[in-house]
Amino acid sequence: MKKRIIAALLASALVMALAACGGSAATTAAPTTTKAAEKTEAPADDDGKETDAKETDAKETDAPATEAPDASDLPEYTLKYVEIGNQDCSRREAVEAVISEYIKPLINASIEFQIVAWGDWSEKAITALQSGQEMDIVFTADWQHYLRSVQSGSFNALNDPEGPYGDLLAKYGQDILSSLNPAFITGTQINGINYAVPTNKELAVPNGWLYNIDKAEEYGFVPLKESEGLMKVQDFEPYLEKMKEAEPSSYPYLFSGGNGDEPWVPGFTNFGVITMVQDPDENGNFDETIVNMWESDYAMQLCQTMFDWAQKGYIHPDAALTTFNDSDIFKTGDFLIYQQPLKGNNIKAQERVNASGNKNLNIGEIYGQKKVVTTTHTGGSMLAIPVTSADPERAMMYINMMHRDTDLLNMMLYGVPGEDWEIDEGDEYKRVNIINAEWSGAHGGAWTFGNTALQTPTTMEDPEKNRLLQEYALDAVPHPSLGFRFDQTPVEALVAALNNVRDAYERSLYAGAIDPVENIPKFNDEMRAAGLDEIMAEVQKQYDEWKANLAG
Amino acid sequence: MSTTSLAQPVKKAKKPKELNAVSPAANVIMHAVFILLCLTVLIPLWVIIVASLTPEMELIEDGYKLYAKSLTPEAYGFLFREGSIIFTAYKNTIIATLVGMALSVVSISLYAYPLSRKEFRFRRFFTFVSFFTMLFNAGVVPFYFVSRQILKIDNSIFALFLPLSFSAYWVIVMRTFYTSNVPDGVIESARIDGASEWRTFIQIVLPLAKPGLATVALFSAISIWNNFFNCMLLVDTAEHYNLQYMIYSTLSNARFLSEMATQVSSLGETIARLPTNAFRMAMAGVTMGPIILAYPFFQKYFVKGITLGAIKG
Repeated sequence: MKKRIIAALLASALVMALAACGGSAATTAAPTTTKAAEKTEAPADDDGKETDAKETDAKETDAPATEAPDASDLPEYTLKYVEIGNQDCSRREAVEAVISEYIKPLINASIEFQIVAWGDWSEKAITALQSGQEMDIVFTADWQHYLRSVQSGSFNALNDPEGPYGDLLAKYGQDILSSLNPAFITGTQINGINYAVPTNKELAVPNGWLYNIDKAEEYGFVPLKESEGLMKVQDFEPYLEKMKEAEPSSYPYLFSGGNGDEPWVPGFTNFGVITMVQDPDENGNFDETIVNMWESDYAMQLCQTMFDWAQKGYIHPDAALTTFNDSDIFKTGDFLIYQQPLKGNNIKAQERVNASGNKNLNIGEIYGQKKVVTTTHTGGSMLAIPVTSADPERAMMYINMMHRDTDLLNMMLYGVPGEDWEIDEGDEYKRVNIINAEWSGAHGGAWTFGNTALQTPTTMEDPEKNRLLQEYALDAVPHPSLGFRFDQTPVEALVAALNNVRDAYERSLYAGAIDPVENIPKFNDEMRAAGLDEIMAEVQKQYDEWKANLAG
Repeated sequence: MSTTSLAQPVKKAKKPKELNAVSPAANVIMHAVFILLCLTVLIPLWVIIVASLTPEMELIEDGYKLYAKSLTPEAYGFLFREGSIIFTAYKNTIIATLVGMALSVVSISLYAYPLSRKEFRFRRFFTFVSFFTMLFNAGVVPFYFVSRQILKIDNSIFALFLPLSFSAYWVIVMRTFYTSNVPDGVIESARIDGASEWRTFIQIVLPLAKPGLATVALFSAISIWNNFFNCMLLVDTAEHYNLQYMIYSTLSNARFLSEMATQVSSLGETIARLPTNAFRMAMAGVTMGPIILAYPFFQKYFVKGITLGAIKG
């Protein structure tokens, strides 16, 4: 008898153990099954919503002057807004109160913010999405699981006329559509449908360099202006040499993890290696061949230059370490050239100087690339409406206000007017004077909120900054791959193996810590062993399919 | 023992060598080794304190040092500025640690005691139940679910200590402690004197188990003090943050942002707004705070635990 009990216990323990081991598999499987269940349930639900939508449509045609329904017709609602940022802060409740008071008469809603830290986002916000926690507006981006969240069905379609809520963007998002550069909308679509509203921010982000103007004058370095032409990283060598000679303890080429005249489409795949050339040729034609960048002559030449510079002491010996803190050295101004992605009109330089807190820095910009619009910059900051939202229409109304209403944007950005900030009356541009930076330091920053052109800049910024940012992109050319997003799920394991190989080589090669002649071929061999060719075939397949879809 | 003989060198020469005495050479070597070990612990602490008081520019130019050219309390001023959530976080951490520690001592000592009594019929089963949780757990998503939607401890101080106030590991340790330090004879004699089970437990067993309880208290206090994960997962609002989460998120943000910076153009400026090095060090220093004091307080129980036994002779 006793033995039997023990056997039964053991058996049940085994079952439990198996269940526990299968835990991770179960969690990934769960959303798809619930999704399927939802889908089967959906049609019945759909019909009801469709008729609702038609009714509101009918209302709109009756009174075309008011695009959104009257606030008093709407039931009271609390919007839950999940924002990325540093940390929650003690000013949040006051800011929520003042914004709720402001939006109450407009859309009869109040707002609650939840700030999730940058580093916790994948664990916390994504877990919340997966577990079906209720939220109405949530930050998303290509570098923060946009594609994956859409695939797992976490986000509502925003302009799918067949979807449960119809074309939300057309119904409640007219200000979004009229103010955004159309490249933003097409660039953030998945199979022709938007699942998130992109933030109106910089769109053309050519690579280039910041340079220390004071040091440049000292060593007779006169870089080309953007209008005069593009520069190559090798052009700086004589001046780096001069500075190193005069100041032997300095490292004149400040390294931030990349290079500046990189010819590749950034973020074409989220592991960089497989990509295509970004800039068009003289005739404006794009080359759409998918390549392994580490087999190019460009990569070899660049790494040879970097290796040479590291030997000569132009690059900091710690630069190959991921812990290397370039912004700290930037702060001291002890450099000549610093690689950075740029936004035109010296705006990046200003932003970096302001953020560094060292106002004595005198920084200029050098351009290494043409203005081309790519997927990664259209989807760098977006707002999605999760399927757990009880009122996606209200959420869309709120997002729309973020593309129309300067007062709302300023409150979201800087906090309670009069307490956290005030308009500086003495300033001819009426810019914002920050009194308490608690709230403005807690959230993700201006580039995560609606239309940046409508935000009032602070007294530390160029008053024309936001207008210039958007004008800069007007003559940018869209890359043919705009809107293509590589879905790595079919080759997930291979990509993980590839990334391990990359971690071992990439940064060291860029920072010139290892000899490229010997190591690049080794790197390529190891990547091939990890399955590079298969991944490349998958990328090519998906690109062709996407292309065919686009044409058809 | 040997210290008295060292203090009186004159007598020492006459005295025959004590049986357990350590030879002077070995003594020197052992002292040197332990002093070195202490230094490996103390020097990083010292560097943190110095760095937190060094002006930021000096820190960037010269790196971390054992002494600073000039000192400034700026980082601490910023840390303890008005409206800073550090005060709330401190309060939360202290309350959670005290309550959680008490709760875990109570729950662990109560759970472990019956398991140590041979006459308890289901002791194997209950040992297995708690031991099983040491080997297997369901993962983060179910934990998130249960804590938020069933227990509803999200966004409250309970999130900071409740999940940590029971530990299977310490149940096993306490069970062993009871079996080896509370002889059956003592419990038997209590029963002969007419004590009830509760009276035996509270008046006889617990006092004998003090060193074990102290160990459980100390380690659960430390694990609650040092835990940031539950706060990260279950707390969304600043009013329930704890200290470790504040430190953790500052560092993990810095790491995440610098990894992403080359991919996301807008992040560059966000990175540059991150807290200064001195500020991070000040935070690390402040977080060590009162928990350091817990060690000497519990130490006397550890010593007692080694030297005392229930039955003499």
